[in-house]
Amino acid sequence: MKYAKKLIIGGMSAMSLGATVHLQADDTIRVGVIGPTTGVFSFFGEQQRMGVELAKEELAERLAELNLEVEFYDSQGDAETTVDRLRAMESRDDIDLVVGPVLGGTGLAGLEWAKSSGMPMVISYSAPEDITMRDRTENVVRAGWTGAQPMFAFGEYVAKELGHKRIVMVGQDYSFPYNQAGGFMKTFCRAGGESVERIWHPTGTSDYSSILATLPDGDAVLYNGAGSDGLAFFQQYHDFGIDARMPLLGGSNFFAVGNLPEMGERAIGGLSALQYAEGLETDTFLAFRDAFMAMHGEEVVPLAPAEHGYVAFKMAVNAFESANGDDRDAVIAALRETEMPDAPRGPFHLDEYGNPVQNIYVNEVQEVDGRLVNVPIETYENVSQFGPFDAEEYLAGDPDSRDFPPSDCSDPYYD
Amino acid sequence: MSTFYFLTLNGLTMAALLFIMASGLTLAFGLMRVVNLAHGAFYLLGGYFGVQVIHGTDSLTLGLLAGGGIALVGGLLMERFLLQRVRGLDLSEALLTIAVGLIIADALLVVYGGQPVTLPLTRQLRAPVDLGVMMYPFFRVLIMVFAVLLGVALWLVMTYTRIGAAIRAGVDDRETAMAQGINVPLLFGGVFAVASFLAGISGVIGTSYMALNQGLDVRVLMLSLVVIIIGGMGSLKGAAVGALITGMVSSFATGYLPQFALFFLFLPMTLILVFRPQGLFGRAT
Amino acid sequence: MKREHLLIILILAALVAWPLLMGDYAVSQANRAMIYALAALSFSLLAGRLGWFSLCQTTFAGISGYTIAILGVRFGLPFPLVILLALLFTTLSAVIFGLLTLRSRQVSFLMLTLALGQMVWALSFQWVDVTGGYNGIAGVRMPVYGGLDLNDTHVFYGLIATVTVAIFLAVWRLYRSPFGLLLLGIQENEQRMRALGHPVYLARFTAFVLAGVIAGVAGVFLVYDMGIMSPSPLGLGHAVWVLTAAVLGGYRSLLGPALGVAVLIALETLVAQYTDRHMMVIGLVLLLSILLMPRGLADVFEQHFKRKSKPQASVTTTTRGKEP
Repeated sequence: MKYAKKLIIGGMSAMSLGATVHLQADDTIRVGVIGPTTGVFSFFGEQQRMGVELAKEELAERLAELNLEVEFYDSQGDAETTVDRLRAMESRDDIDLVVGPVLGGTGLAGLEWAKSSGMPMVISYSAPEDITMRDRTENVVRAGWTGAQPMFAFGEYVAKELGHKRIVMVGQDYSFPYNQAGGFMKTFCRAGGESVERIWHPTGTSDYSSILATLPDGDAVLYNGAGSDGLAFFQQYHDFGIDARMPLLGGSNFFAVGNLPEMGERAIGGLSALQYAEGLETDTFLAFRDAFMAMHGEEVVPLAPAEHGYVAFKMAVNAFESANGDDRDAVIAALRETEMPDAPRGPFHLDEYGNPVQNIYVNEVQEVDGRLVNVPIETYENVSQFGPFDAEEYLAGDPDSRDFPPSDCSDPYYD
Repeated sequence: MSTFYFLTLNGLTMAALLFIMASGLTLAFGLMRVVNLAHGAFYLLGGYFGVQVIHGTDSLTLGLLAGGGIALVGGLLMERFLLQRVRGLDLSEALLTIAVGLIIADALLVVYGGQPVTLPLTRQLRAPVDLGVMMYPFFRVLIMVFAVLLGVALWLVMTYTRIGAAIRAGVDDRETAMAQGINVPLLFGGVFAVASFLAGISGVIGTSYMALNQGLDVRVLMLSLVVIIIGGMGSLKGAAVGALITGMVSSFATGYLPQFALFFLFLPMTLILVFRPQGLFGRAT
Repeated sequence: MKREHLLIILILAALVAWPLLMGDYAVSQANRAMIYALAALSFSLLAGRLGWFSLCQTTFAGISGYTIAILGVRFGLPFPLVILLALLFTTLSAVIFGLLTLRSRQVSFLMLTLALGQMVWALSFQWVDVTGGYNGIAGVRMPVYGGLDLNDTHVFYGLIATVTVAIFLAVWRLYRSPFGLLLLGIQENEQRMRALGHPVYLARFTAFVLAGVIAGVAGVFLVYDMGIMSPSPLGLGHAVWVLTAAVLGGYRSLLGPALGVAVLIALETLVAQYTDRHMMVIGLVLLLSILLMPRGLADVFEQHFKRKSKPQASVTTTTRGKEP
């Protein structure tokens, strides 16, 4: 049986080898970037990584001055792996600040870990609103958005500018679409809308024909979801000719640029809202986009996860500079004071809860130079995660869920 | 009433696709007690490659053949170089197919990336045609027709040809069939290749309305398993009936109670397991 | 002193020494390793004794974890009670699954457990009101007892190590008990066992429920280790990971599953420095294990050892029965 002992000791020392080689205490500042670079959601993690790499190159001199190094970690899009990597960052690799995670679930897992660890963390694309609301913690700020944030603007736009009264909303059955629906309805109903009927389907549904068969009537349909579900919905919506009856609006990620070539010209004119648009024409954005494409290839368009990673990393570097080193409390204090007047997406600053107050763009899919892109046609400035509402009042209310807020705009809730 | 027809046609389309996916799987299982758990990965492989060929050649037929063909080659290679090494150890064969499925799915992620993909179909194919009761997209009608033709063809081959007779003999009693001079391993190689081909071709067909993406392999595998568990493992008739039940239940559940669609998808399977564990047309062991 | 006692003492010594010698991260890695060793043991109990390969053992761990997260966080039930309820609920699920799969065997058992496991996974994803869906349920913590924080990596290590050792010892006894031998006999020749008047179905069913409970214990630690319960541990990927670890280490032996988990984690850590293709690595490990050493690392080393010394009874009760 000695072999077993040898093996166990061998195995354990192999693990410990991995555990000890990295541990160095010195005056180097280390930033750990975590996102899903493998697995189903690798697209988002790759975008973030490319964004951070661009920022790293642009800030090379300042990084050398700070003696700042960057390490990339793969979350595999998995909460458990995320927590494991975060632990490795803290107790193995001597990381001083975390950029990421990227996805909703891993963001919440990261937040949970950060609460007990105290590590400064700049969440990039992950959008659950409670990260900077009901579960907020001092050491975690966000460079991106909440699910409801862009929809506050969109709800108002759809009611006021498009004049739709009754919306049929088909969406993926989980918290991010609930939050998007909540943001939309809270402003839509107060801006003259009459009702929003919600139909939830399981994530990963690929056949929508039966949902379309029983679709109620309305002024427009809003598909509240994204990815392959969204693409399949779009396809079948047109197969059954429902676009002739009701126009199709999108949730924030519905007309994502990766899906546009697959959607084809039928997507032209499609409306959605986000704090980002790859068709922005500002000088800072064009500089960012050109540098990004020069670095990562002409075919790789930077999307929101890339910009958010880029900006999150810049926020981190700014914080280390104003804290004059890696003192945790000073870095956190500096992070919370973040102002980014020249972010590619447009200027923003963090609210007192640690989420950006930023421009929201209502985007229309247009063909520009033979490519389908989201072009902003309307800008709502300084939209916070609470939309037009008072923060304390908002936090006192129920979180958005499958059937909250109410479908009927005449409900007393909206008074 | 038109909603009823609509939901029925949707259920039939899904049943057709499920039948194309599951028929080969169930035959291979019946013959050699080997279940190809890389089935979902072959669906993805066929789908991605088929769509790529269609983009390159603008020919749907070539795309279908290419998608089926690459899965066929994959299946043959797997059978020849991996499964045959552990022939007779049913579980080892199943575990090997899991391993191959993981490797193929990860390789596809490297090659085709994580973005969803759809099938470029011509306007004529997407346009609705009049079915008497309602208008319905032409390509969906074609999927149903294809499934029926496939079912009839498989049934004819199984019932009236020597190969079919040999397969049936192998399914019934492997040892006796071998003793009668039937080359069961060779036969199995053939059935396995056809099963892989069908997985690949259903990848292309399915992509006509379901977007192809990473993770779909597990769902396809799960659906195929549900179908053959309901119908009885190894039974072609069972696969057809299982596909019909699953397709219909899923369509009506999605139409009226979309939140619980998945629950209803698994309900028939659970009931079958409780009341008739061998499946509707399976033989009791 | 018997050789196996020496081995036990050595393992215990290694387990005690580990947190004293190693850093925080290595200890947290060991925590995960022990959690998965329990899951792999649960798998091996069925695979090694009965020849039943289950793809739903991680599902039981998930059910247990969700019970704790839901009852603890949503309903605020106290700490020791939720664990009891979690194990109770896992047992109940194992009873139901056991009844559903009792009459299947070999490949059809594998397919059934795959389908049932994926069904629960789908449920955890979609029953958002209860499970929190994709985002899961956060804030699952153990209490602090008078200055002793059970969530502290080292304290947590102590807890897991104690329970893991106890369970492995219990399973060791079980393997050598008449019940354990009956299971092996059923795997060899079910008809004969039945003819001899043994309650074959009852024995198989009991083994299935026991394995489910062990996985449930793994789930308890899993959820407290992560602090959040989400659907991912119930996914096919985790089930295949555990299967791969057990096959790699050798599911027929007692220590094989633990060995497989340790080696696989070490391998993943090593490989992660060179490539992102960890799924492919798991697939290759599984493929090569089946083709080159179907009895796993434990057997390879045992053979190696036997050639050097005279054969003796060993902890690793191996059978010379059929391969899977």
